[in-house]
Amino acid sequence: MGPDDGFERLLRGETPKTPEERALGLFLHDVGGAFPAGIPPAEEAHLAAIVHAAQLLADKGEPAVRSASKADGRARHASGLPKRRRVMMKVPLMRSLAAKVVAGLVVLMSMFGGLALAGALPGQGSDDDATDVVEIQDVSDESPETEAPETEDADDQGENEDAEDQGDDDQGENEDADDQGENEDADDQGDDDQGEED
Amino acid sequence: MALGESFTGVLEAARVGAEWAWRALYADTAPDLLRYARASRAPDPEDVVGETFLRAVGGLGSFEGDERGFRAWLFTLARNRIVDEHRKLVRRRTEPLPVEFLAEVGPHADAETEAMRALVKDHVRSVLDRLTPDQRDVLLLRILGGLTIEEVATVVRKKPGAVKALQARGTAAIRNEIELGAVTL
Repeated sequence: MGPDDGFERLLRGETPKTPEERALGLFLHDVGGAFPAGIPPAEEAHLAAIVHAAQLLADKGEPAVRSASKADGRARHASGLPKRRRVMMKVPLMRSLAAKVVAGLVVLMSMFGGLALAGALPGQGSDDDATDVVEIQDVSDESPETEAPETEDADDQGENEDAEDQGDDDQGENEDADDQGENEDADDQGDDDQGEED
Repeated sequence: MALGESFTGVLEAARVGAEWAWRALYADTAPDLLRYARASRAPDPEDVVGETFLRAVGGLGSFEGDERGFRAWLFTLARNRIVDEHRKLVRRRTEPLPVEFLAEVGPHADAETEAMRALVKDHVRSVLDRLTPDQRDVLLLRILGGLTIEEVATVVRKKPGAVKALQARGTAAIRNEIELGAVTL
């Protein structure tokens, strides 16, 4: 017997057994009397709104009763999330703010990198001019700096002073042979020619 | 429970918008919803009943259960509505005159009967007001709604054990008030 058994008996409508229960039963009766059950005065207005809403829902084509079977599978909704949003939802990485910032930076860097390669960035025109000047200087000054390595090759050949070796080497290196011509070394050139004849 | 075994058929008819079905459901449940809303001091108890049924129309497609479950579900909707109304009142900081008060102002019976009814109501209110909101909610749902412990637990979103404890403390407080003569007429 719990402390609330008397209360449960009274709720079931049974006769109270003790004076205490009788007093509690009287209070429960008073509660019912203070708030009597009755049809709301606005019953008809309520029902009109309820039925109207229910019929609207039924006519809308949305079945209030849904099939319990999923044998056919759930139909795909015509209206769904926008494509971009769907992709974002599928890729958890893109949900992070840091990942979005990094992705934005990568896009910006690749974009500007591409522009730089194409020479379309502002301020790149002066560099092109400078390059042109250098090229002009190459022609006018006979580019001593740029031809220095070739001269060294020629010197090497001259220092070698071995006609047969030089001839063998020059068989595969015709460009060196031309350079030798510029080097004004008569012996070397003669040897080169011999080598080519071989 | 007036519908009994016919409840399933009534519910199916209500789902397709049959007026007779909604009338049956309304007649079965609305009176108890109204008295519960009045006892819970809802600002507009009738509006609570109407809104409760309108929400039920919208959610009926997802409802699964028997007649008792349907009744408990309606009380859940009504209670949510009452809680929302009370929150709005707190924000507004003004309390409109309850409609039920206006209805009570006019004479319904002889003066002596009206005076006795008013006295009883005042005493009941004074006792209920000494309970905590949770205790009062549980007891009103049990007394006026006719719900079981488990059904009340569903409505108030608590475990049945917690509801039992609230009910025990609430009835103990009422007994205490009775002994003190607070509700002795």
